[in-house]
Amino acid sequence: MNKITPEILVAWIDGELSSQRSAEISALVSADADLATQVAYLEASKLPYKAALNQDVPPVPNALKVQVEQWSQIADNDSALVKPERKTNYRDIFSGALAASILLVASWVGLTHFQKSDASAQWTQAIVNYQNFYVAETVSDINGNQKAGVKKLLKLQQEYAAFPPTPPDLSALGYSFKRVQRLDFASKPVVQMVFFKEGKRPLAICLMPDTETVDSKYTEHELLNSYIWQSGKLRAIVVAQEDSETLEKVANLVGS
Amino acid sequence: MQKNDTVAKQLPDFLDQIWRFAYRLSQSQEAAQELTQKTCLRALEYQANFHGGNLRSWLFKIMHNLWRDEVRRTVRAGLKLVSNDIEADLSSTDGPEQQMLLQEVQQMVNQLPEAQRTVLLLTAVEGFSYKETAELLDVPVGTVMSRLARAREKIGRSVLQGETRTVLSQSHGQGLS
Repeated sequence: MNKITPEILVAWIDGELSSQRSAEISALVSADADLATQVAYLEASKLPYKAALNQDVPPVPNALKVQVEQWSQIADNDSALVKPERKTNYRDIFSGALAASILLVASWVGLTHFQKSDASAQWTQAIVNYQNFYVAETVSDINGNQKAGVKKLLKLQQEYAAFPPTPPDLSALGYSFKRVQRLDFASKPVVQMVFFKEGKRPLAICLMPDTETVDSKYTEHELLNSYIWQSGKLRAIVVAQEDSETLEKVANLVGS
Repeated sequence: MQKNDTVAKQLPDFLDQIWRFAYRLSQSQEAAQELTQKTCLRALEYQANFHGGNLRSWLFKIMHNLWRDEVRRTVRAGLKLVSNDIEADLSSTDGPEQQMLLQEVQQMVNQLPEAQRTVLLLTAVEGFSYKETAELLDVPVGTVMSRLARAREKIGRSVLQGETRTVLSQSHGQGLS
């Protein structure tokens, strides 16, 4: 029985073997009927795959094109939205995406020039830009695990005691809890709690340690609206596809 | 940040290619859209992890991981795996025989087990080398070669044993394109 594997035969047929090895295979194939049959099958599999598989691919949907261009523009103009560099391989990153911490690097602001006077505007913009990336599909299939959220919040409380121990209950507003993530903004920890309601973009509440009182403010943005307020020792923001009344209700549920 | 900016800047240029791969992986426009969106988001979120090199390969790897780990489950749970529009829209300018040939080739590829189909897509359609394909799929080169060999043997057997329509049996000698 010969020791020619199908892989070697494919390489031989595709002309990828050295001339010496190729001659050896030729001789073996001529002397072995089974091998010759196998070769005939492989020869017959030389087909116009590219043309066949490209023939009916529909064009990129226009809405998708526009969406990707917008995302790219935001990411290009605003490097505030960058995940930290990780040493693990991509498989680890992707499978552990939910647990990944995120870094909101405020480099576009220029940390050395980070002034309190416009800090709340920069904070708002960074969070809104970040949330712009998230469409309903991003979180709709996440099975919101309240226990995991609480566990994460309790861990974050060790970092800063003023962080809440549990996510707020937004069910009265039709939103269900999805997840808690740890972000960073200007070297400060940020708690991001994400909620989802059918037909809406994800709602995010972000909390960051800051004792400097900010004035409550509702702002309309292109895709989402935001409401910032001071919640004890925390600066808080809610970003969602909702009006001022609903966002203020969220703020009340989180606490002031 | 210049290095990282390149992903965001170049991503729109790769959209056509990743869309085509998404469509061929999922065989459904709806799933392809979801897969492409998720791939772009992941690429932008993790652009700091791209250290130069082959961006196309990096994007395909993200897409394949997403397909394997997330989207495929959704598609299998709800959407039909093979979309009707695959057979419906043959708006090619080629003659009817050529169209039938291409359709038969497509059907044979789509009937392959997924691991073999993916390797065939990446090598014969996308033009990745065995080594690049192995890196992209996180498998040894030998596995790529063996999947490819099994895929091609299956297809060749089908052609020669007349399991496909006559047009393919008559025109199989056209070579890879």
